[in-house]
Amino acid sequence: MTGALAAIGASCHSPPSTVEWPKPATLAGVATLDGVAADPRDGLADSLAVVVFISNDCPISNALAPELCALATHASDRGIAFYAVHANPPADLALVSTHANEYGLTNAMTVLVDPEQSLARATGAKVMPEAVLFRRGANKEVTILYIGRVNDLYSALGRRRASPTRNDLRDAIDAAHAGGAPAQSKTKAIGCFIEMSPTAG
Amino acid sequence: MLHRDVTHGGLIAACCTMSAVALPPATDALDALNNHCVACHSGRGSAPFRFDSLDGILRSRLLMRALIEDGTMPPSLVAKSGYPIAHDRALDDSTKQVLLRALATPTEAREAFAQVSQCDAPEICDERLRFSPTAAWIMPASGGMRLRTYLIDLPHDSPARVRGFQATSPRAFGASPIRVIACAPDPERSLAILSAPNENGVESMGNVGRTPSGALGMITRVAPSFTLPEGFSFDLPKGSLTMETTSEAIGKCAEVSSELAWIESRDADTRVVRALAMTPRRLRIPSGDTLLTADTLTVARDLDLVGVLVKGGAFLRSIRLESSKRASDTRVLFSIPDFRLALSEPWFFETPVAIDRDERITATFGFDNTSANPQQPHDPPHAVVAGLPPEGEDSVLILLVADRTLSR
Repeated sequence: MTGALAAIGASCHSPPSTVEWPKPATLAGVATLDGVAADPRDGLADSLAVVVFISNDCPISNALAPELCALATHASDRGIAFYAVHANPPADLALVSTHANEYGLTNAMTVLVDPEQSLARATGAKVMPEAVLFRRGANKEVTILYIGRVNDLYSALGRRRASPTRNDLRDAIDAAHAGGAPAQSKTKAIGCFIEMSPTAG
Repeated sequence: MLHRDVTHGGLIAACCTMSAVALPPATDALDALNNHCVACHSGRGSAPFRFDSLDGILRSRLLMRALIEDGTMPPSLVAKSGYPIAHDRALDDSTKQVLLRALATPTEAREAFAQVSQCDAPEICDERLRFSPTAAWIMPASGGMRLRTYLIDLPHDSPARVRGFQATSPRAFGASPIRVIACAPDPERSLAILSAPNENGVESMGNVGRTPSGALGMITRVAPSFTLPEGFSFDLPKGSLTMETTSEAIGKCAEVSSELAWIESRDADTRVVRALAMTPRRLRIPSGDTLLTADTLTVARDLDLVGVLVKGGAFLRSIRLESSKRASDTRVLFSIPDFRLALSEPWFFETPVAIDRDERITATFGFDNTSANPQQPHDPPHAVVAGLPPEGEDSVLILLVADRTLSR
């Protein structure tokens, strides 16, 4: 698993890779805000889905919330599922619900919590916000088409542009929806780091 | 896109005292955290992350470690050139290693910071000293920076002298979209400039002339209070003043409430501080180019340079302040080689720097309008002139000076 994911990251222009996500079939701990187990891999074979790792208290992640909402609508219009995933949810999950409402995420996308970082480990995501665009297979296997930044609003920590000059995730969604491959399969995401639980994985 | 609005406001009230404290040497990781980080990263500070709880530290551990390791944090101007800065938060090598070791793993962090104590914002004492616009306004969830100018009437019993001002609620200040608030003593002039035809808005920030915005100090997301060193004070104008608030979208609609409180002067604060603004003249930065440009003035009387305020847009990358009596006798007073938002705060000298009459002071501004500029908002770059960010550049260096021979 790790090797397969590492191979994806080896080149910004590497071809899409087929990746089998963790076994057993369920992703430990991943759930909706109502506590219902969830798995973004579930869906029609060959359908597309987007997972964006976010945080309720990371200003970089929060600054991108309006763009995430716009992207979720953009994706939904094209039949693409869109998930926001808290990879380091606070102990008090009410904060996550409040955050989703305050930032307008609730009605735009499915918000999940991933307290054991099952999804983060599977995709190789390291920071929040970081996006993963993938094509679903027939039996929970996925092909990751793009992993990296949402856009380049932040060029580095502490370096915010007035507006982004690159909209990488949007471009990747459009390319994948058109049946092609994103121009870049991997970019460097800028944000707060995902703290991996020592007990998981 | 930066937008400007002008609002008349009224004074709610005004007070409080704060004094800077020199950094004691760190003896362990908790000591280092308290001395170098917690002032900003707590309920008393303006930084977005809180390190005054173990949970907060654990949630931000990896980020803390990365930023300390690469020198981004704490924001510091270790004087590689120029005169020593007071109360710099720079980490010496051993303190840096102590912190990095404590942040290496969650287990070590739990052990090192088990005794960290919650540090909440103190109550602002005296309602009399508070002042703010009469109405808040709503910042949209997304978009660029916005600049809002308020004219605030001061009551007749306002203090005649102040040492500075502070946000009344640092916790809310840090969580708000506010980046910078500056207070200027000359609203008539500001308003005249704002309403003048063909103005680009830069001068309304007081970037030229004797009464620049920031003349009464500036607070930022990095530094939610502004206090002149002991012995110095501002004269507070009678009547009214201008308050300018620069805000930046934070991803959700947010109320911008710019309530501040004066920090009163003491009897011993007898030296009056005034401001001199230095800014690039007729600025034009070609697309895809870098530019060094200078502003020079000759001082008319013996002065002490107490501190500086720096403001810059997306294109400002460096500032260097020098003085000379003769061409062969140039000294560097102050330098920021790599400007960024985290350095937008008042910088005071450890000891005021003497500048003699007829001495020439030169501020050199370095701009980057290439694609390599990490804050470049355009692809490809556009030509940039003086004006409101992000389309324009509104850099200014404000010198806070006191007449060397006069005191009250």
